[in-house]
Amino acid sequence: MTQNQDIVVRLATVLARHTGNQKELACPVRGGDDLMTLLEDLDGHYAGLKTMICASREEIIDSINVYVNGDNVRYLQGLKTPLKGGDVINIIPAAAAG
Amino acid sequence: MIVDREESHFIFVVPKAHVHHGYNYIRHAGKPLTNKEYLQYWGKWVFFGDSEKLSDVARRMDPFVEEKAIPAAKYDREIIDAFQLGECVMCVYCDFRQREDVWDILSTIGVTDKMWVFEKETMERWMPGGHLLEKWIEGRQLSPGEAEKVRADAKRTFEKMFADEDAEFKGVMQ
Repeated sequence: MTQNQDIVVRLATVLARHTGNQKELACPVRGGDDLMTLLEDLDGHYAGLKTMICASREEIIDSINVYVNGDNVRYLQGLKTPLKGGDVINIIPAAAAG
Repeated sequence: MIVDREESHFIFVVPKAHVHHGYNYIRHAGKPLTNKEYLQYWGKWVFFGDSEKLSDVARRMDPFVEEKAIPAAKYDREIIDAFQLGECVMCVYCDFRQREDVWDILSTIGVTDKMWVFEKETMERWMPGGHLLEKWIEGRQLSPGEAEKVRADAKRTFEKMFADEDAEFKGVMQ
């Protein structure tokens, strides 16, 4: 994976209602990105998306799971998890995780 | 083999030896996990799709489960409305220490979404106050008394299940 690739965000069907049913979004890398800056960026295009995912600037809503390259960000650095080009982010309702 | 029993919400992919000879697939490096190891290492790759797509993945996965390269999997027979996901879920189980090998196989049979969930996380969500148990209670519109009984039963079940951390893990009722 190179720094030039986009960051890919995949949303579970139920969450894609907030993005006009787009389940996959490609986000350009700006440098120094972390999960929160990416969500703020997306929220500029899809209003309300961030509040659906974040309880605050530090916390993700309990009923939502966010994965970066397969790992739940609660085991990484939460909303401060650094991102790079080529990363794949999955956002799902926690209820879906078994 | 694919175990599809109408009375179960889930369709399972498990080794024949599990069905016919009681083989415990919850193991790592040839050894069954203890309760403590289960909580520390056991988990699953989770992904979504309609039931046709997941049935197709199950058929392709079955030979790998039979040769024990993948321990086991299960998927929803139909969408669970209460969870408002809008898709069926497939869980492919393995030990954390084996997960990249299992993922390599999954990626060759068409799985693209990569989400790892520890079983411990799922269990915590089915404990009293956990999101899944509370959703389940809400979906069944239980009275406060019935809901309390369900919470107490869940707590008792989990406590009993993990009382001896060095004992071999024997599985969870589905």
